[in-house]
Amino acid sequence: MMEKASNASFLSKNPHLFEIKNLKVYFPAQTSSLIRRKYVYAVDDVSFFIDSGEVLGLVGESGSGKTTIGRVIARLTPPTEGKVLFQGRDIMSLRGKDLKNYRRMVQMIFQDPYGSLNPRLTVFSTIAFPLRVQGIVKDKNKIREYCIDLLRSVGLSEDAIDKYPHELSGGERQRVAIARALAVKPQFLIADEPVSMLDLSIRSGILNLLMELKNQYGLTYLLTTHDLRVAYYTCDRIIVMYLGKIMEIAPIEDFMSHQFHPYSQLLLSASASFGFGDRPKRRLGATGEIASAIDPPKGCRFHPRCPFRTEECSKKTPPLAELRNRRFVACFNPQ
Amino acid sequence: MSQVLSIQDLHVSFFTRKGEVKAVDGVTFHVDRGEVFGLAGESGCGKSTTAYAILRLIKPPGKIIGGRIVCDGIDVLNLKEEDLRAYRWKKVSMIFQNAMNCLNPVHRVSDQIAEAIMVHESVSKRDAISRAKQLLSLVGIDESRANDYPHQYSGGMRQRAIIAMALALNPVLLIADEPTTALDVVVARQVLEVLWDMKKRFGLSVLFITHDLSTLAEFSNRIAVMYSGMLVEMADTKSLLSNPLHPYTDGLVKSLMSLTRRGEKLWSIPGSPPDLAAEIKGCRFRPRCPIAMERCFSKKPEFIEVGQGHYVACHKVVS
Repeated sequence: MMEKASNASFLSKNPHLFEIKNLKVYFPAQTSSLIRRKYVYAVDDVSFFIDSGEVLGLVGESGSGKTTIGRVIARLTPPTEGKVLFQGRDIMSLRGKDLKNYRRMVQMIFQDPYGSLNPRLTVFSTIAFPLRVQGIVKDKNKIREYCIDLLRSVGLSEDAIDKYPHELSGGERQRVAIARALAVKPQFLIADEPVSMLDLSIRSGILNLLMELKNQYGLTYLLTTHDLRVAYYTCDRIIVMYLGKIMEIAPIEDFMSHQFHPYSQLLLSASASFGFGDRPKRRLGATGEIASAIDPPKGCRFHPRCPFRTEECSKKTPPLAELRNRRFVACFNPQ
Repeated sequence: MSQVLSIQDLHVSFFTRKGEVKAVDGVTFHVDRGEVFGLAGESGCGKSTTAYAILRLIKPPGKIIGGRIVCDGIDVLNLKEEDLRAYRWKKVSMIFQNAMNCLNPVHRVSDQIAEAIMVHESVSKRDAISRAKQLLSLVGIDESRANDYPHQYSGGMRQRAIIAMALALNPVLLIADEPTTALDVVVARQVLEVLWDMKKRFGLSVLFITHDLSTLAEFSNRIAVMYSGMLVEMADTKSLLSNPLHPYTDGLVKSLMSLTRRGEKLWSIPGSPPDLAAEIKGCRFRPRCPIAMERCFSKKPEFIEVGQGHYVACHKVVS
C-alpha cells in the first residue's frame, strides 16, 4: 500500500499516517464592531492521529468543526495554529513536487454530489482532468479505457462516460465523484458526509461501495458524519466533536457498549434506534441546543447543556485524557 | 374511529415541455382522528405534491386531474376560492420542510402568531398575543423569549415556533412535510417529541411526510409507502416494518441502518427512482424489482387489501 520507497523511512520513525497536533482554525466573524474583532472558533486545540488502513469517523452536529478538520487535512483551509503531520512532515511546509504528490495521495469526496461536479463537463472530462494533471496514465490513447475501468469499479456502466451530471441521478453522481477521487490512486480519502444528501434507497449502496473500495485498494478514510448509524457501519474508531473540541475518542464497538461523555450519550439517544411506534419516551437527558462558536461557553463547551455539570466544568476546560486503553474522554465527570 | 381526511383516487399532473408528468397517479388513503399517519417515499415520489393538493396549493403547470379529497366533511376539491382561506390553517395547517425560514425576519415572533389568529378570528390584539405566548410555552419556548425576533432564535426554536403557529387555530389536521430534515439530530429529536406531545395532549391528527422510515418507526401509527406517484403498501406501523410485503418496502426496511448489527454488508436496492416523465408499462418498480414476473411488464398492479388494513400493490404478493 505504501508504494513509495521514500516514504518508508518516515514510516519507521512515525507509526501514524497522520498526526494532528493542537490544531486551531479561527475564522473572522462579521461583527458590527470594528475595534473588537471576533472570531468563530471552528476548531479549537484539537489533537489526534490517523493510522494507516483505518476508517476514522468524525461525528458531531453542524458547527462542531468536523468538516473544517477535513478541509485542513486536504489543504483547502489553512490552520490558524497547530500542525498536521503526514508521515511525519508538516503538510503546510510542502512545496512544488511534494505538494503535488500530496494532493494526489489525499483526495476528498464532498457532501453534495449536485454541487461538486462541474455541470459543463462530461463524466469523461471530469475524471480525465486530474489524470492529466497528475500524469497517471502516460499513454494518451489509454485514458478513456482507464476511465471506463474506473467507472465499472464504482458500479457505473460504460455508457455513463459521455453523459453530463444533469443526466445522472444523485447516487450516480456521487459514484462519479468517488471515481474522480480514486482516479489518481490516492492513499487517503476524506469523505465529508458522503450519503447525507442521498435518497434512502441509494445510501447503503454508496456506503457498501466505499467499504469495498477501501479493502480493494487498501485505503485509509476520514469520514465525517452526523449520523451514528453511518459511523457504526463504516468506522473503526470515532471522534465525537462538539463546538470545535474533541469530547471523546473510542473504538466504535467499545463506544456503542458504553459512552463516557454525556454529550456522546445525548447523541446516541437522539439517533432513532428503529424501535416500534407509540413509545417515544423522553430519553434525552440534556436540553438546549448547540451554542454559537463565536462566543463559546467558558470551561467545558458542553457544560450549559450537561445534566452532570459541576462548578468546575464552567471554569476549567477538561483535558482529553486516556481513561482506559484507546479511550480518550474530555470530561471531569465521565459517566 | 372517524376519519379526518380521506383521499380517493387522487391524480395530479404537471404539464411540462417534456409532456405530462404524473406526479400523483391514483392515490387513495385516509387519516384517522388522533393518529399520526406517515407518508414515506424518496424525493420525487409525489409525497409533497399530495400534501399540496390537500391544501389546494398546486399551481400551474400543475393541475389536480381527478379524485376526491374530503377533510372533516368538506369536499376540498369543490371549495370556492373565497372559502379556501377559512379552510387553510383553520381546518388544515402545514409545516413546510424549510419552515425555519417561513418566519418574517422583521416582526416579533409573538406578533406573527397573533396576526395569524386575528386574521381568522375576531379577537383583540391583546388576547391574540396572550394566546400566542401560551402556544409558545406549549412547544417549550419560554414566555420571556416570545417577543424576540426570529434571528434571535436557534433553528430548533424557530421550527418549534412554526409548530406553535400551525396549531394556533386548533386545526383538525396538521401536515408536517419533512419537519426535521433540515435540523441536527439532537434538535430534530426535540422537535419530534414536541409534535408527539401535541398529538397526545390534544388528540391532534398528523400527516407526517418523510423519507426517513426510522423516524416513522417511532413516531407514527400507520404508514403508507409511495413510489413514483403511487402507493405501493400501507399498513399499521408494526406490520409494515416487521412484515413488509412489497419488494420496495422490503428493500427499504432491510436497508435501514440499525445500531445493533455491524460488519455485515448493507442491503441496497439496485438502480435509482424512475423519471416520472418516462412512461413505464406495468409496475413502476419493475426495473428495480428482484422478483418481477412476466405479468409485471404488462399490467399495473392494483392496490389491494391483503390483510386487515394491510394494502399492497404487487402481482407477486397477491398471487
